[in-house]
Amino acid sequence: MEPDQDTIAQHDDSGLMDHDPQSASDAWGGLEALPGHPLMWVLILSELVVFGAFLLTFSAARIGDPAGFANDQLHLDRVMGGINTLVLLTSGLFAVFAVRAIKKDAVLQCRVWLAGTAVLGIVFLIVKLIEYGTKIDAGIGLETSTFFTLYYLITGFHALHVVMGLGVLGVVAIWPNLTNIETGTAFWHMIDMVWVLVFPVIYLLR
Amino acid sequence: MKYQSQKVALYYIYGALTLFAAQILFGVVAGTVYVFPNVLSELLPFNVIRMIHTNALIVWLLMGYFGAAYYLLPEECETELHSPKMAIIQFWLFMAATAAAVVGYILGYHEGREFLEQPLPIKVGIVVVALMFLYNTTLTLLKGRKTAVSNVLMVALWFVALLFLFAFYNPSNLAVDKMYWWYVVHLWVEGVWELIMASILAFLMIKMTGVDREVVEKWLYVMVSLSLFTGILGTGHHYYWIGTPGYWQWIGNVFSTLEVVPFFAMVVFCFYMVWKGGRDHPNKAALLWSLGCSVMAFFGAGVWGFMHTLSSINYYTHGTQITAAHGHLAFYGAYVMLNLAIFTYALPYLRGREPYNQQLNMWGFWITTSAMAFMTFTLTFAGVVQTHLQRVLGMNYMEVQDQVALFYWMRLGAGVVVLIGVTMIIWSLVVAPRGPRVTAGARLPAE
Amino acid sequence: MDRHLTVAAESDDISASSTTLNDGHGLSSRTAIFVWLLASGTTVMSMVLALIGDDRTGAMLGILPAMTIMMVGSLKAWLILRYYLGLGPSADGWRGLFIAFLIVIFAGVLAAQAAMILMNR
Repeated sequence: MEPDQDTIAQHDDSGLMDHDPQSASDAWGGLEALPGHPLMWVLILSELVVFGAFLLTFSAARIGDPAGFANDQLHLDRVMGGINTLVLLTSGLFAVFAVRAIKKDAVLQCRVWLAGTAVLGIVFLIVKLIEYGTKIDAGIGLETSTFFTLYYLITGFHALHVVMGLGVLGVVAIWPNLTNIETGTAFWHMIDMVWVLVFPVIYLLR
Repeated sequence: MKYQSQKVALYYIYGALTLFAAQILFGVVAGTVYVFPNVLSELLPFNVIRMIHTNALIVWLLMGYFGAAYYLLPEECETELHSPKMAIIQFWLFMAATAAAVVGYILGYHEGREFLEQPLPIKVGIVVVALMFLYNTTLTLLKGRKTAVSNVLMVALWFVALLFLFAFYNPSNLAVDKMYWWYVVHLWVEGVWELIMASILAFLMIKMTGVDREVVEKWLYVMVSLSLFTGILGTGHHYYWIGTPGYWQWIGNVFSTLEVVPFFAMVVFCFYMVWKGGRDHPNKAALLWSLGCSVMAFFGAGVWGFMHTLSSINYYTHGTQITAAHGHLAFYGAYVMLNLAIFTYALPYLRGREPYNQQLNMWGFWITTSAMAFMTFTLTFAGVVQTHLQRVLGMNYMEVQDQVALFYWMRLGAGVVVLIGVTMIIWSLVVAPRGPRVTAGARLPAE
Repeated sequence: MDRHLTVAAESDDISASSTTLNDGHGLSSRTAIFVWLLASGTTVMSMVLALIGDDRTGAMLGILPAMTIMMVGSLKAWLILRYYLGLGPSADGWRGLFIAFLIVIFAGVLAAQAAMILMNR
């Protein structure tokens, strides 16, 4: 009964089959051309689709009630939103420096830049919480209106990603090698990039 | 078959096929009641027939997963099962619990909670069965080689068991009850079952196409990520109208729409692997089931799911025959075909009858799949008409049922054809071929 | 576990080689800071403009101001993609995909704005 059909057909499933050396790296379908671990890019692409869908949903919902959306938007604090944009942009710059440091094998330097990135991430969250606090004090909650439902959902999802991003930065800071740092910072840049799109669509356009 | 203990899978496969037959029979009876409403109404009320139809489905699919796990784990882990004896005891316990549940249903003992109707002792029995299974398989995994396929499969099966625990929590508030109820129902079929599906398909692709394991594993990781990313928050599409806050509509809309993506990835995966492997595996039937599974899952779960997943559409279509259409094709495409794929692949090895002519099995594939597709179309049309008459024009439910009777007749016809097709499949798996066993030396080399 | 490690080690090689393809040492500090200055500068500018012109009436923006706002946002997103996320020349196909994503958002949001402007007339 042995060996089974599959082995007869010259198949060795231990991964040592006679394949050209390219095939294993091609297996990510081109994702390996991007910095960091390819699975992170699967996540980044998925995240962008979700946030993109939410922003388009927001725009579509706005068509149904332009006046209501404009009215609700007046309650948002654009200065806070702008400050948070600056904070995240700067944290992104620090993340770039962290990658540069690890390329020169400067682990300590890399960790310092990562810490800087994370501190700015925390600043972002504090500003966000202050914003939420003001809204809630004004009696504005998740179910106040479509605008605020989407506002809380989109910025809340985004803030949740900042929290997760802090975790990711922490993990890669513990095991700093080029792949890990590139993977972690890629996630962070994605968060940064999503915010620079969320900010104009939700805070500025009226 | 490389390991003796893989043989325990036979119990599960035969058990699953038995329940499969019962499920289809009760399905045909239920389809008959749709056109002759008084059939069996005293002896076996419709709700009981439906309960057996749906419960038998879930149980035989689970039994099939157990069998698949017992078959593929030794091969993946390169070691014998921890305890074949325990696996056999577990099987009979599972069968006994199932039989007790069915008899109980017929006599009217059930909890009345759709799909989770099992009385408490049966639920406890299921947990015991699951614990035996997890103990046995986890120890096997721990002592052997760890591959992505076996790891993903085991993580998924652990979560199948853990999520079932929500079946024990039955709050009296109906909205809260439904919320947890979906943790089982949705997070099974649109969450961890997809991981089982991806890992079994990955196993089959490694075995049948000859594509490098590393390549398959990378795909597996991507499919798993996509399934969890979309499936977990996709639960939101069940929270539209059950009393949960309105923001679930937005979450459900976005994430459940994306639930198409992992199914699409599985189609691409299977076809790409077969194309890339370019090898002519003798078990053509198993390959047909694997490819068919990915395609029909994409249509049944993906496309038919998307059709009514947006809340603005679901507002009208909720609970109409469109749901039934989706349910039938999704379960068939994703999980029935998955089980039949692994059965068709494994049985020739388990019975020492490799390779043999599987024409009958493949005819069964085409007949059953076509009939299921036809059934899905008739139910979809019925659902569209029903939605318009009942939800848009406001006719009452029973009046509308008269209007769609023609579709129910066609559905019954499709059901009968499914029964024929399933008979052919089961016959081809269990009975055929009756000729002498093929000995090891007499087998054909790979083309 | 060891299987996992091989995967990690392998992608390590790949990314190392892909970065070499980029420009030798990755993104230079000067470029990174310039990108940051550009993105932050436009942010500050748009904030100032918003505050100056902020009449708090909630009147709807015309298509040109709306387009400007979205252009600035998309530009920042593109800068992050191209320089911070490292979608350099070695990732041509992917860059196209990400740019398509930005275009879809840009076009979708502005289409909605245009629809509202037209309906308001």
